[in-house]
Amino acid sequence: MIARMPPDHPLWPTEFPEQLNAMRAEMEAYYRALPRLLEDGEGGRYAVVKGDTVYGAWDTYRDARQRGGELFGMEQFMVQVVDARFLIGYGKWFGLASEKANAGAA
Amino acid sequence: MPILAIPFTPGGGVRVQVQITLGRPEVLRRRQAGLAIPQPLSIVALLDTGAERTCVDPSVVTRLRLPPSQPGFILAPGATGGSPVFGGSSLTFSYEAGLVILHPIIKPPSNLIVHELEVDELPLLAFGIEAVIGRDVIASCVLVYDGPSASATLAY
Repeated sequence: MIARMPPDHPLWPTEFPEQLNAMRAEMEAYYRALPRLLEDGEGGRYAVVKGDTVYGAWDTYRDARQRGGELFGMEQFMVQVVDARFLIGYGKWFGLASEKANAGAA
Repeated sequence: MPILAIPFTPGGGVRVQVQITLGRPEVLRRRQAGLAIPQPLSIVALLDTGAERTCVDPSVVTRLRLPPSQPGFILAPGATGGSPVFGGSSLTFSYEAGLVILHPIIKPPSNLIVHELEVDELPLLAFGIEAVIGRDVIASCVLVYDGPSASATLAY
């Protein structure tokens, strides 16, 4: 059996993987924007994110990918489905507890 | 409805010849940018109803230069190879690809073609395969596994 771990799974890592550093800004921007996206009824749609900016959400992954391509060409950007479960998974990395830990370390 | 008859050995599982390609959006993007489009890669894949999604070996990703889609974590029973930080799971990336399951009949064209498919990267060469066809593809097929006669059929 091979399966993807859902973002609200109890085993979702608590530490941000350093292999994802190149996408950290986009992932954090997505996390910060997620409550607003959900409030706006964008759940299930696909958000386009580059740097610390979310450039809206589209009905399908393909539409979002196409929009990102129009905006950024061959540059890297992130397309992520708007899913409330990422509040839990990404919250472990970018949420309040993470901020407190980082402040404590500093 | 094309039907693919697949003889198998119990130890090897149900294996099919497939081609991995770039996904259609990437092909269009590369055409517009005037970039080269790699030829499809012919490999052996295992039909695996236990796999949630289709996976390819890292060498496939490298050879086709598949564009990354998004990161995630893979769970497998008994897997302990992952970092403890990841709870025993493995960090992986998804890639945008296309898939063709090859059928020997050419006229009429009988291949199963998936123009857009998100595949996960997973080391598979140790199993003698380079891809696992998961339920994301099998969901649109009728797969019959006939153990006593060591044959399977895939209809789509």
